[in-house]
Amino acid sequence: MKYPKLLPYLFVAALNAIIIWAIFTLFSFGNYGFGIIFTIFLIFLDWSVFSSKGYPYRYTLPAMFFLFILTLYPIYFTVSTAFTNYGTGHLFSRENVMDTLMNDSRYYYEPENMDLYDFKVFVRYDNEFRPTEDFLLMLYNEDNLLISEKPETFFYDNQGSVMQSESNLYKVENDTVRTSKNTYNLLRPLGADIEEDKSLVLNIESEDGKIYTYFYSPFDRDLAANSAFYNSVLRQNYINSLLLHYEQKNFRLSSGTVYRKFGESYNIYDAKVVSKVEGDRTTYKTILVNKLTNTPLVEKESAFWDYNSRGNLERLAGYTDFVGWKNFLKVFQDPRVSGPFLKIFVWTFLYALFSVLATFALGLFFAMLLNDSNLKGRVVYRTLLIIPWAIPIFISVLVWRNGFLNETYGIVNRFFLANIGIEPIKWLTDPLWAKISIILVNTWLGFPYMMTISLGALQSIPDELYEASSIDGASNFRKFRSITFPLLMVSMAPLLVMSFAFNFNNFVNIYLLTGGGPPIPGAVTQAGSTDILISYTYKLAFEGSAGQDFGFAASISVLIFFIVATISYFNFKFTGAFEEVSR
Amino acid sequence: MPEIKKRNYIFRHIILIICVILILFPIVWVTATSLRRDNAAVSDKLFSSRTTFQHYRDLLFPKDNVPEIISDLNRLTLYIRDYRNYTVEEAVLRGEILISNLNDYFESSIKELENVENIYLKTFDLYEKDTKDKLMKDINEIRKKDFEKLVSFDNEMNDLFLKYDISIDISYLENSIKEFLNYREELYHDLINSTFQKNDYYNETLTFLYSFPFNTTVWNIRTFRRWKDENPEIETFGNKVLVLGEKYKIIEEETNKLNSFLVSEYNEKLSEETTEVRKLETEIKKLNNEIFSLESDKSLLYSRENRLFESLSALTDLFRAERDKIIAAQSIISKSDFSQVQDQIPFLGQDKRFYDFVGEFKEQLFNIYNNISSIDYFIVRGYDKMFKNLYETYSFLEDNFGKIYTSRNKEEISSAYETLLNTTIKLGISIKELENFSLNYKNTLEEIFLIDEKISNNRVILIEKEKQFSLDKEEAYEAFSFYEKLESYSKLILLKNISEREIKSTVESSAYAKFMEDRYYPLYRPDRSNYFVFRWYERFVESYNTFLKGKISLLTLMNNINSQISILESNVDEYMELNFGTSTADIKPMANAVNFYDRNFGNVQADLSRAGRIVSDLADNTPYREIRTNMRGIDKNIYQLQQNWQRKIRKPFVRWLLNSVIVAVSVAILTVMMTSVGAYPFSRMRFVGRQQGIFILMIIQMFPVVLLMVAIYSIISFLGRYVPFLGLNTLGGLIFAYMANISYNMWLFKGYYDTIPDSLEESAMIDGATRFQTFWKIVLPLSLPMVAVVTILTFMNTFNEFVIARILLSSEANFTYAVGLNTFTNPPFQTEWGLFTAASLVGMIPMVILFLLMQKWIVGGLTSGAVKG
Repeated sequence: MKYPKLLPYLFVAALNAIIIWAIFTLFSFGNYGFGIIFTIFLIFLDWSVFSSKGYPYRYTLPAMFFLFILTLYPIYFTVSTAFTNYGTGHLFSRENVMDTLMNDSRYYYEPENMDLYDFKVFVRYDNEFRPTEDFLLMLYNEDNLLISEKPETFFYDNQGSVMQSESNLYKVENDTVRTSKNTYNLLRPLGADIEEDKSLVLNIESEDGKIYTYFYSPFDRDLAANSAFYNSVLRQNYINSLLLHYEQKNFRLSSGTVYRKFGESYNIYDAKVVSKVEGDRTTYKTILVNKLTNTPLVEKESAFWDYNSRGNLERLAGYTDFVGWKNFLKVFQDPRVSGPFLKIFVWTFLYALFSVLATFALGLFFAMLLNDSNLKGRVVYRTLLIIPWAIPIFISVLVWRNGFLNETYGIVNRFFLANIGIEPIKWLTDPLWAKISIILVNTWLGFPYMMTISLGALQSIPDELYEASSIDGASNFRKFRSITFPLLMVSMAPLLVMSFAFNFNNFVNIYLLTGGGPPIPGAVTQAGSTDILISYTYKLAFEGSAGQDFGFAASISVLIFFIVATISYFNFKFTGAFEEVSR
Repeated sequence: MPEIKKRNYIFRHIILIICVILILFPIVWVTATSLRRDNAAVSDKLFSSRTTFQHYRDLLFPKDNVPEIISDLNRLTLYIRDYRNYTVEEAVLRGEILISNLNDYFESSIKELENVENIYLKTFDLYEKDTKDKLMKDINEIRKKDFEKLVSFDNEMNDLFLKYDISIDISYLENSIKEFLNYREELYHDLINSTFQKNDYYNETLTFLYSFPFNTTVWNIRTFRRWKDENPEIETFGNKVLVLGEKYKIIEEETNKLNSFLVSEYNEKLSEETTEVRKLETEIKKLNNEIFSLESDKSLLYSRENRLFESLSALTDLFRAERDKIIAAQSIISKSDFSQVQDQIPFLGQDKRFYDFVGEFKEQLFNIYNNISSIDYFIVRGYDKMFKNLYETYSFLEDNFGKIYTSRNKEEISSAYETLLNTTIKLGISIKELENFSLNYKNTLEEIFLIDEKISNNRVILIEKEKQFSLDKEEAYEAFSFYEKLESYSKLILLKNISEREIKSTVESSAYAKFMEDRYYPLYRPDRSNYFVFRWYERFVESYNTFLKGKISLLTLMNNINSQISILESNVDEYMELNFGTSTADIKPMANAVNFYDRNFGNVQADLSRAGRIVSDLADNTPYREIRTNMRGIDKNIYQLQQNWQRKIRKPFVRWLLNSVIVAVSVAILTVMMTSVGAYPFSRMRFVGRQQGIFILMIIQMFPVVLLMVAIYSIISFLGRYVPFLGLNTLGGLIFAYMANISYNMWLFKGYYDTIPDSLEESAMIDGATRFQTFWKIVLPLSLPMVAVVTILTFMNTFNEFVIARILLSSEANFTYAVGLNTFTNPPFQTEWGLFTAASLVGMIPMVILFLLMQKWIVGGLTSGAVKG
């Protein structure tokens, strides 16, 4: 089918446009890492499409796309995080934190003798007389009567919730008010005395026919029934974070009046640029200044600090900062960390080793039993024995954990051991037994795989060898030792090493079975007796009780990666995988 | 010709079968648990006979039961949550449906209650007519066995008495026992056949009659007096009971007499053997106590030693710091010539102090030296020598002080003199302390040493005595065991006589069982489960009464709720209007209905489950078939009732399964498409980066995914802001995140492509096809087996994947199956094993079947690249 040659190029052009837009968005957010990855991908994309030498790579484009986004960028991110202190207390960039400190309502103050306004909420009803979220605010005190529309501008914080919304107030003259979008007329009840209470308004009509009915006021008991809607919808989504502007003054729900009136409110912190002169070079830096005390904020330990009313330094907010090699050094130098770290490393190694050995031994044992074609029902046996492998891992591990190895209720303790008369064993709470139970469960889960590949490998050993050795009078054991085992190892060795690498990072088993195991007493971080490196890292990153320390976790990940990569590299070298690829 | 032996496979089969059973046992257990009514942790048995499919129904086809309908109705009238946007008509319709469902439940509950009660009554009938005799017969058989055993014990005792030449006469005791028992039976019949009102006092007395020991004082005060007041006609009977009490007192007296006689006989005839042993026992105890107190003293001393040591070493360090100065100064001074100098002694100021100190130092340093030189720690560090040196220095100073003082202003001496003066004054402050501490420390060490010796001496003696004790005890074993038997001989007699009598009523049998189970006679320890039938009737009646209580509470609860609901029912339209728009009022009947349930169902539940549990226990252990079936029927109905009324925690299980399937299928399809195309150039073309390409890919993907979590989380959340269906907590985002698994699959595809000969494509290209067309039309169709393998593998891996899903998904409705199952292990689900195992099984079985069907392909795919041969 001949389609116009233009079509694919148009497609590529569209893709380019989208990616370039994405790159700009990322850079504007300050997400440089992601932006760079995208740029590299863009170059790669264009080269592969437009260069004839890049033809093969066109096939790999979708795969490469995902590789870049989901593997390369995360790796870059992890490596770069390893050099920062990203974690609890230091979650956002310095700019973000400065933004929050300048704009978030927590950091606002109310001046003395401020203007206070009472307010009333006017809401538009829909056809079924249910209140909608379209509303007007009327602010009033002795001097002024002001109207504000629903806010249109919103500022979001890093987690996507509304930090602040803004709107303007307009003064009412002769019961009419003009805003930037509309003109509104106030409708008063008959016989209302404007001098006495200027806030008596029935409803407000806009010029394009929308009617806003008086809905709620904090001091009006008659309308208390509407408080549910006001509190859960209007206040939650709009009014809590609302900043109203009028004649150089800002107004907000004032905490001093339990949020029942609007009062003046200004941010405490403001940005200021200072310059530092060193020799003949001037550097500029943006810092924050406390407007009330006119002192700059202290920055130490990657956080902003300020003096509180008692004169003590109080930590306001932390930001992510570059700390160099500190995380890596911490592994080796801090004794509270390196002690458990060493233990965990050793146990990871042993765990992988024993798992491989145990599964291999058991798998080989069954493979040898089933290898004989004269055995009746061997397919049945093989099918039955493969089942532990087929069961989703999380199911079987959870069943083992809760149903079998539970100290008080587990089947093993309650029935098997009780009948034999042995004391119940603390399978999961005693450090030694926890390690044994992990290896036990891992063996149960993994031996079918070993059995399968052993069977495959055994079948590739020609029978003549065995017959020849029987003629020479070899015993069964001799046959195994000199024929079966060496030939088996030729094909299985790479798989064993791969299995070792897999188990080295086998996070799911450990995490689900013991969660890292009974904690090591006296460890500062959450190291457990059955933790392997990767589960330790996971706990550090996501479950730290002293806060999550992504930076530190990332540095350990980098170390783990190098270890595993080394193992795999040697594996590939030995198995001649290189030759395979270069064929 | 080599012999062809017929190999014996039986051995292998046996091993394999045993292994299969052991290995597959967990699955069997999972299945069995998912069918249980109770939760595995509560019961004693591995496999239960009370099976139900309720768990599966709850997971896969959840149906609202009573409390859920009530809550639903409540929400409906308040127009909250699901009903937020309902109009009045819709609300009225739904309300009517809910109310009619509720009424259906009520009706069926009433029927169930009636059912259960009928079965109970039927069983009672059956019991009276038929089972009762069988029961009594069985009971008495067991009793006879008890009796025979006790008689043999008695004979044994008699032999022993003969052997040790003890003669006793128990005829009076036995007669009194028999009299007591006979009279008791009489009274029992009187009570049963009387016309007394069957109130609480009656029942209490009935049970009291058969209690042991039969002490009427408490009964008299608590029950008899009040009963007399309410029903004066029982007075004669009551007095008879008191007479019975007297008879029992006679038995007690005789028993005491017998006991003391036996003890004295024993002491006379067998004492020597045993007194030695007892003496040893007391001595050992005393020794142990002594050792214990010595050790606590020692630990006190140790703590004192620690404190002293710290102070001591701090002080000696002080001296150490100054020592060099002192010695240097002294050597300077000693080089001087004093022969021509006059003696002078200071009278005032620092010099005087210096002079005084020097005088004291000599002696003090001497003492210190003595003390320190016996402490190893200080010797090793040379402190003893240091103090000796200091002592010599200060001796020198004292001897020559006058002359030194006179020449103190000479150039060569003045600096040394200054130094010595200052240093000595400085040290003078602490030297007294040092002396004291060193003395104390030395003494403490000595004390500890002495105590240690004492303790080890005692220990040696203790070991000897214990050896002796065990030897002697063995020798005197017989005598000791005889003593035990002697002590309880009177109990044996009592027990024997009791078990001689035929048991004729269930009250008696219950009391008998309790008596036996209490192991009154310590040497006869029958298996408690033997007495199950003895208590059968009692427990059955208990279950019935508990059930009745539960039934009444449930009926009351139903009535209350019903009355509230009917108020609602008659005014459905109006009530629905009330809260339309914004909520203005609490609908009182609804609130009441919810309240009734919350406050009262707990009791109903407790009673019903208790009744059910007793009945199931009976069902498991009753030897009579018809009764067993009845019991099971009761149990089943009660369970059904509970399921209809119990508040359950619901999880969107089917939704989870669906999510998992959707995600897995999408990921499988997308991955296959990507990797099949992407692997093609690596197999067929030569280009830059080909050699290292896949290899680097593999290495890169060795980075443990778990640790890339933070990055992936931030990517997906970033994506979610611009493309809503790819964000956090969406299935789209999850699918996106799973797309990273390309290297291994590319490896598989590449391996497979390598086995397809090039010639096909070359000939196609000669015919004018583009490269891509050859791939699409020739290679890909030929690789369908591999496509199938990769699809299946990816599907399975994605279905089972749990870590990434847990991080990206946060709302329950979006969970995949794996993450949802994990919530079953957290509170409040921890002990709901029925649900958990049922859920596991539902997910497990399809995957296992799929795997087994595809195993040939999967295994083939895995081993084709790896295993060469």
